[in-house]
Amino acid sequence: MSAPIIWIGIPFLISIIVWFFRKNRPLIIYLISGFCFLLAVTALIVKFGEVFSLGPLTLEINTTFTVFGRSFILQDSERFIVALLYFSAGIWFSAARISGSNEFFLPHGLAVISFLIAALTVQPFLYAALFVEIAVLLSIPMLIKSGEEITDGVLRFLVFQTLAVPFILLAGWAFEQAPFSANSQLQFFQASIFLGLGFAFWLSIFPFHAWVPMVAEEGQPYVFAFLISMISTSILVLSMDFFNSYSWLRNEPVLLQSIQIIGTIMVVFGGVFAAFQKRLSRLIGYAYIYEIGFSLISIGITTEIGWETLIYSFIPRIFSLMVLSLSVAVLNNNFKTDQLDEIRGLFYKSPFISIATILAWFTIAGLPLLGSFPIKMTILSEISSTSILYTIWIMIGLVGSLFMGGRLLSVLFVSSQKTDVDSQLKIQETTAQAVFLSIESIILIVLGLFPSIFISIMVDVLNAYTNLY
Amino acid sequence: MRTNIIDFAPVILVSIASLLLLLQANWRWSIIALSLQYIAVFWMVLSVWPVGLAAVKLVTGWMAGAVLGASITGEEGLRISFKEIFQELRFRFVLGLLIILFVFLISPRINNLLPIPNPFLIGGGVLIGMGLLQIGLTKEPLRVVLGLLTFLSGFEVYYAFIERSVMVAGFLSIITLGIALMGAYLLNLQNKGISE
Repeated sequence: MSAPIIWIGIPFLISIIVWFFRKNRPLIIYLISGFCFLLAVTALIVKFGEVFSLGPLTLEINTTFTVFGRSFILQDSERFIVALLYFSAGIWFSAARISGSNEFFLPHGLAVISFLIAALTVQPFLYAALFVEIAVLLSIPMLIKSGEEITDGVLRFLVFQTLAVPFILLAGWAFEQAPFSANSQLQFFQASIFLGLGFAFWLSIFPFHAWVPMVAEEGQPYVFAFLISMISTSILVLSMDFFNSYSWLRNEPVLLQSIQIIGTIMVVFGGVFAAFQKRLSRLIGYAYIYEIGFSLISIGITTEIGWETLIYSFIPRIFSLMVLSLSVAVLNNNFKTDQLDEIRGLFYKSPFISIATILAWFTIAGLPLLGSFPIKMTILSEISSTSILYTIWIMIGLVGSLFMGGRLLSVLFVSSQKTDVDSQLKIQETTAQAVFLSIESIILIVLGLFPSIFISIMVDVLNAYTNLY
Repeated sequence: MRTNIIDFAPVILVSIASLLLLLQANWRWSIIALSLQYIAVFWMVLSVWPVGLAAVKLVTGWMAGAVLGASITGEEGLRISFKEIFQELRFRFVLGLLIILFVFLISPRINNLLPIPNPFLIGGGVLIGMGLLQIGLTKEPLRVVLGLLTFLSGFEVYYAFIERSVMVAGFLSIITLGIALMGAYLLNLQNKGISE
């Protein structure tokens, strides 16, 4: 048995089977969540490519699966990324029912993850573009609310993600040709432009970010956060593959500086625009823009610390977006609104939603004692040693996001009517909502208090990218 | 490679078909224009690929058209809702011509970047440009999907000349069909919305 069959082939087959039973949601939720947790735990404990014993049996999980002359290689160091994707998907799927997601979320979501992992493992890796596009196509039905019209944001999501495919394929071709070209420097430069455009469309990098807040607002926030978390994590790992394979990318100062500039613009844009939002669902979009900005800055640093912060940022980002989107989804389901003006004093009616929202937002913002603080602090200290200008701009973005945190505190915890009766706690969340929001909030707190837990898990991922630094 | 005058025939066909697709309000004519586009794509790809492999593009494109056509039901879906007024058509026609002219003028520059014979560079470029124009001018799911298919078919012409991998061709066909199926799904939702 090979690792790609277990972590790509079997999940895809299961997603096809459960698609036919998608109306039976409780059963499907238990089945798929449990299956995802099983895959995650197995990926964590079983070493790929090594013989291990299971009772009287001796087993070996091969790293390679070859089909039509192309290989899917799941290396041992990549199993932590696989485990992260399946573990977070397991939690995401288990809360599917309270989030109000549609019937396609679970089967399509599982298929999306298997295609994204296929994109990470396929060799030559330019084929990854094709797998990511199939994942995007599968994700469209998940994003549309049952019985509601197709929104512009969803169409833009489809368009922008599809536009990335040609650029990535052309970049792969151009990078292969460049060493043999008479003017290889020019060819490398052209290849990097193709690559930059491809990644810009995929990660919705400025100025191709317009659809992000639109989908967050119009679609299903919970499903949207799942998609952007899974896709962005896979794409960022894929970008490491490109940097690892082509030394030209790592050594071109103009390119690296451009990445840092764009990253800084996204941090400022995400932070400042978040500060003035009136709807919580749009915040998810701006949180994503803000986070991708930090990831780009990490890539632009290109030192060992830069790549480490990129890898370490995956876990707090995924979990903070998960908690924020779940609280917005539950809020929408319970009160049919996510307008900040209409949820004043929410804490006294829905304390679990309020606390989860605050925790998630401050984790994204990078508040001390929360998950992403060590990462953002490291990025800031690294960038401050090279450019004070970037540091100032990033600080502006940080202040914007913290300002939004302050607004959230004032909106959620201060009742509009200052009477004793209104200030008494009357919990309106269901038990299931309270349990899921509590568990996810606890995960965020643990990530913040004990960051070494996730750092120690992710540290081995970089072993697969020996050329990066 | 010496350019033959006959090589420009698919370029002319692709320009007419993509203009027709841009201007047509009737979905039947749009699907016919899409089919013509794929004939031109097949014709262009035929100069570098064997007939069997090039035919994949044609068959996939026609299947995509059939899937989209089959998903439009009833009289409500007969017309694509952009205002069929003279000014709108004239605006689209001029924009379409400008795209063709622009591609024709910049093709020698693109030739430095991609080693593709000039007629096919223009043919693929027209499809890419018209596809982007189509996507940029509308919010209608059917038109967006037609634009995406046009854009991708232009890229497929380019990619056929630089990469002859059967697997990539297969995957691109899956993506073409996937986009058409997604378009059909979106149209189905839209039709439900209209009927309710």
